[in-house]
Parts: sequence; C-alpha cells; structure tokens
Amino acid sequence: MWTDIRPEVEMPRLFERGGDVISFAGGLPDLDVLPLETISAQLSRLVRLGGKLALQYTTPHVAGALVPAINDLMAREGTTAGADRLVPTGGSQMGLMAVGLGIAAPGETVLVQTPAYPGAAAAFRTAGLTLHPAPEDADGLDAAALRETVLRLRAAGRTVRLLYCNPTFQNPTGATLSVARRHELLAAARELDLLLIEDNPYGLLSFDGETTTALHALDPDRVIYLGTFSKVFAPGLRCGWIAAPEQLARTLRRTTEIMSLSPSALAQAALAAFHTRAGWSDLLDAYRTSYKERCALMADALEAELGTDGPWQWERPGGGFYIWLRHRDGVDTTRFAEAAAEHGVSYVPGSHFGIDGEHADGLRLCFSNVARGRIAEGVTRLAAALSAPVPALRGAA
Amino acid sequence: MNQSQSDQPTQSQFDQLVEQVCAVTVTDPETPLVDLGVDSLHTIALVMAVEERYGIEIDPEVIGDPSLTSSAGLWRSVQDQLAAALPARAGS
Repeated sequence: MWTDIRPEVEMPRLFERGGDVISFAGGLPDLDVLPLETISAQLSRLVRLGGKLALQYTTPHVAGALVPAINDLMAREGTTAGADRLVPTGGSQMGLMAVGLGIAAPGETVLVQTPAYPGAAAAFRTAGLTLHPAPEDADGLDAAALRETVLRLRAAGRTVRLLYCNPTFQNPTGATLSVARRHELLAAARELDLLLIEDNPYGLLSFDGETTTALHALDPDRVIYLGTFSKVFAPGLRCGWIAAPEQLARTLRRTTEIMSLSPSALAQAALAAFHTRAGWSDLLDAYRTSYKERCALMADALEAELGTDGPWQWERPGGGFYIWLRHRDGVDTTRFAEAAAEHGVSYVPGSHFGIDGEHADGLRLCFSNVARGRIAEGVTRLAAALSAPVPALRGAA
Repeated sequence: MNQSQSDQPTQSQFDQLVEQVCAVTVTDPETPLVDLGVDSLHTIALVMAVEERYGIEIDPEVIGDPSLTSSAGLWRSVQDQLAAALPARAGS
C-alpha cells in the first residue's frame, strides 16, 4: 500500500537502554531538572479542581490557557501566534505526520534539509511523499541553489510545495542557520511559492541563553512552525503545537482530529498551570546549564580520545542535544556499530539521517541524558570502537 | 494569612490577579469570566493560582457555575474560605 515505508527508514530504536551500555543514541532530555514536587502538587490540584474537564475529550484547539504559555516560548525567538493560527499536537512527530497528510498530497515532493531527522523522513514517506535533499553549502541551506533545484524538479513534472528544515541546533548536526540565510531562504520561498516547515524543538536550548530569530518571525504566512514542550518541559506529556497561516491551521486541525480525535486537555492544563505559576525562564536555564555541562564533558573527552587532527571531525555545538562526527575518508559508520556494542556504547550511524544513502560517514552522539560521570567513559569506549581496524560491511563483497 | 485590616487584599487586587492569569481586562467584577472569553481550562488554572496564593481550597463545584466564576464571585469564595479558616487558626 502507498503508506508502506522502506525498511531502511524505520525509526531507529533510540530509547532502549539497559545493561552496562552507555547510550549516546536517543535524544532524551535530562529530567533531573524538573521540579517534581511542584508538578506533583499542581497535578493533584488540577485533577481535584478540574478533573472532569481535564480528563474529558476536547476539541482540536489549543486551550486558551495554554496560548500565553506558547507565546512566552515563541516570543523568545521573535514570534507569536494567535489562537486562530495554533493547532495542538501530541508532540512534533504528530505535527510532521499531520503536515504530511493534511497539507501535502501523496506523490508530491518535499525538500528536506539533510542530514535529516529520521522521524521527519519517516513521517513524510508514510504520508506518501517523495523526499529530495534541499541544497546546501558550507553555511547551510542555499537559496540560489534552491531556486535551481525547484525549477528543475518542476520542469521534470514534480510537484514541489514544501521544504522541511530544523534551522536551530539541528538534529543531528547541531548547526544553526544564520539570520541572513533565513532571510534569503524566505525570499526564495516567496519567489517559488514554497511553504517552509520549521521544526524547532531545540531553539531555546542554547548554552549561552542567546536565541536566533525564528523563520516564523520573519514570515508567518510562509512558515508552518512545529513547536513542542518535549524539550523545554518533558516529553511524557506528549504536547506540542503547530503555528500556521489561519487557513492551513483549519486544515491541520481537521487532520489532527482524525489522527487522535482529541488533544490531551490534561496535558494542556498542566502545562498552562505550570507556566502561570512559574513561567519558563527558570526551567529553561536549568536545562541549558545541564546540557552545556554535558556537551563540554563530551567534547573535551572527544578531543582527548580522538584528537583534532585524526580521521574524525566535529564541531562543538552552541546548543541542542547532539555532536555530529564525520569520518574524513567517508567510511560508513555502520561498520563500527558492532564494535561499539561490544565495547558497551551506542550511537546513531549517519545513514539514519540520509534520505538516499548519503551521510553514512557521520555519526550522531547525544549528550543530553548521559550521567555526567559516565560521559568520559562512554567516549573512551567509543574511541576504542572507532579506532579499531575498519571492518567490512556485513554481506559486502 | 496574618494581615492587619489595612493589609487585607481587596477586590481590586484580586481583579489584577485575574487579569494577570487570564490575560483579560476586568471592567466589571461581576461579569462571568466566560463572557470575558476565559475558557474552562483557563478558569481552572486561575483557581489553582488563587488556591496557592491564599493557601485555601475552593470547592470544585464553583468552577462549573458561571455565576460563581466571575472575579467578584471567586473573591467571595476566597473570603469565605479565609473566614472559615480563622477560628481554627485562632485556636491553634
């Protein structure tokens, strides 16, 4: 059937943990920073006062109580959205699926910033879309090349209306697109009549507290913005939002209603109550501090173990969850996965982030959820695996 | 609460709390919050904030009654709860 996805784009098993394995694989937040006693007391109060509403079905709208909480987050990157432009989701993965099903039509082509978040590629493929890499140069998405690519694809009969990107602390590279590039990208999008899908789970997680103006801030009529509470609060509530032009928001509301019937009023109310009481700043600061420290521990260990002039190349990110390593000679990092498992460490091979076999020379390390005292040991194990003789790919000639 | 008479919170101060939490303007405290565009989950968030601010528990039935969920209605609930708590506190 048309929704079949190719085996190689199955979601990697990122959240499995156990044994003595030090996992640098899954992008889990560090929930040690959550004020659990406060949240517990608030949930108790919420259920006592409003359980009959909060535990009931509701309509596919962002609750009025949550709108200020969302806009408090979005305003930090220079943008806002009224309730008529907001659509509730159970996290951005649902938002991606909703966009794929509700905005695009099966068979059309979506341009994707690569290396790409595998969940986005899987969602778009499941919606029956064809993926094509969005052209980039050393500074990121390249507007001039984008014009050529879109015109070429359209000349070949392809329908191209959407471009997906994760412009701030990108998963997996950690890269952030400059504001100048964002303006250029939007200018090209207007010229080509493209909609941009801005996936922004990490934008507020810079290590220094600085933010970058969201694409949505620069042209809210040209951008479908995917926001989530998973990384600034907790993923277990499964609560996020889409900010989109009003007409598209209406379409997306219908799609999300078909997908899930109702958003979680309990999750929306809990987040609204938390924001009303405490705002976001303290929690954001706590997350930033945690990730800054963990990233530094990992990057220092990588420098010590792998050096800076060996075959492995990487850059220290300014925020987010990930460090992206690349092999200078283009070796497929899947080859080291077995050795890594034997050494008791895991990572995500770069091939998971390609859309047609590319980026296999990369590997993603996630520092956000590893115990501080285990990061150096994990990097030592990783270095041992990566320094071993390059094994042949299983099944290769 | 151990406030002197002059420190007693007023309806006006309570209106400010409502305005701050619900992002509305309270021109007439007797206007039901729902008529100001405050939805039910937002009213719950407000009552949660009110309970925590004044150290009281409000009857959940209040939330379902629009005539009681005006700024003035909620303020009366707060005052009732504070008054009910006074004898117990005085005797402790």
